[in-house]
Amino acid sequence: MDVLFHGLLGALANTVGITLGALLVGLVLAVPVTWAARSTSPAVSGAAVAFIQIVRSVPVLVWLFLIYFGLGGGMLPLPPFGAAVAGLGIVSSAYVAEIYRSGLAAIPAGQRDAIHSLALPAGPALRRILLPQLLPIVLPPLSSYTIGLLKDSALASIIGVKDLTAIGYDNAQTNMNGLLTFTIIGLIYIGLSVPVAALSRHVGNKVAARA
Amino acid sequence: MERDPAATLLRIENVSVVHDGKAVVDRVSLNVQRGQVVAIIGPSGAGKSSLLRTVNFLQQPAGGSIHLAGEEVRPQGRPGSRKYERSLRKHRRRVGVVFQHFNLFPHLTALENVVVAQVHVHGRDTAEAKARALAELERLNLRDCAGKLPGQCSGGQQQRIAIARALALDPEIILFDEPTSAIDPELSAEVLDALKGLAAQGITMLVVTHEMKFAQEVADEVVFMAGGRIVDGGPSAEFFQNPSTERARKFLQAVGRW
Ligand SMILES: Nc1ncnc2c1ncn2[C@@H]1O[C@H](COP(=O)(O)OP(=O)(O)OP(=O)(O)O)[C@@H](O)[C@H]1O
Ligand SMILES: [Mg+2]
Repeated sequence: MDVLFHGLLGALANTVGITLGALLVGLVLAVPVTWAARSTSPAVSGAAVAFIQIVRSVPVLVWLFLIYFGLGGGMLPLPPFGAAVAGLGIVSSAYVAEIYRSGLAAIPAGQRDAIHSLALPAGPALRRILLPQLLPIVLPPLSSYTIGLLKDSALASIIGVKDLTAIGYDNAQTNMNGLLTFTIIGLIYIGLSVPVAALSRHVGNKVAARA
Repeated sequence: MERDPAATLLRIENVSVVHDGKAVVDRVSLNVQRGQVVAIIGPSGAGKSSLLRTVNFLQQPAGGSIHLAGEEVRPQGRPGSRKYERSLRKHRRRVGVVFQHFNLFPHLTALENVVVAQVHVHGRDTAEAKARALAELERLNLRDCAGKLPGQCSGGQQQRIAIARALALDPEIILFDEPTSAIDPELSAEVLDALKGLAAQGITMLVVTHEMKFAQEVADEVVFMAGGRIVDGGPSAEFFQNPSTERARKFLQAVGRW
């Protein structure tokens, strides 16, 4: 395959790596952002809401340029792959925080009343009561977001990551068959997104069966 | 009931609740003696739920104070903050709550609903908590429900699961907010019977209810609220025989009890 399509395996690894890396950064970073956004202190929640708003108002590509050329140029030299993971990860944290936030809002107020009146501490309340109810709510939007992220990872090709899109471009330059090349690249993206959707459906069904 | 102040378990003192700039509970004071059943009745919007929720600070009072067994409850921090909830945990352990809509945990079985706080709040080990949960479920005639999710049980069963959940934590008082209002009328009897059973065992209860028959038969004291204030009330037998205010008389007439 690699012979037929130069650099394909490495490109596949880069695309998947950027997507999963950015998703992980986003899932983790979104936790403190969500927590801050729900704070009773107006300063803290205001800062979190502003962060979410700012991140979402600027094109993803601009964030990548900012991190790669801005930060990467001077203070903190980042390889293109690292810059892509960092940039897409930070952007993801804002979107994922919104998913977490709307998930928490979907849990009826009565659940919190019950948690408080039973005097359940925050840790067990989260683990035993909130997360199990949150999971089926956030999973579908998270999986859609992941598929979007997979597609956005193509932007990394612009800052020099040899991902699927970049490799498609390189190959099309040499083999002069852009139609075939990018049809194959497109099919590979589809092939990557199918398992994400299937996984979300599978877990969703499992949870639904229990409810 | 004697008015021995030493027996006062819950003292609500001059409590107000403000929503949107309006005092929906207006400087209300109310005492509940140990072992007593007090019913709060009154028209919709009177502020009954708001008052009840101040007892364990699900609703932060805008003024006044709550005393349990002679001690004032003083939450720390901003309402809703972690610090605030943490500072209330000790108080809330002593106060059970049964809600109109049960507020059971829908992803846990009846048994797990009754177990979870025993383990994480009282530090009981799982086997002990399970045994206690089964005993409480049995006591409320719910043996067949233990392994079911709340959604697989009837409304009457769900409310009794909620009662078992509260009882398993050995509260000193249990608050009920219209425990039968969300249940099919033909099933509310099983919940009211359960409450009667608790009253007979001497469990202290503060019950917001629209069930006048229950208030009359089971409550020691009745409090009639309207417009955020306590307008009337007294020992249940006397109150239902002869309400002293026109407002209460009208209310009782409207619900067919006078
Ligand atoms: N969270 C809230 N925000 C704004 N207003 C509220 C809120 N909760 C209650 N109120 C208002 O406060 C008043 C008293 O409400 P409350 O629920 O305490 O009355 P209630 O006596 O329990 O009535 P019901 O018999 O209908 O349950 C009502 O006018 C209600 O609209
Ligand atoms: Mg009410």
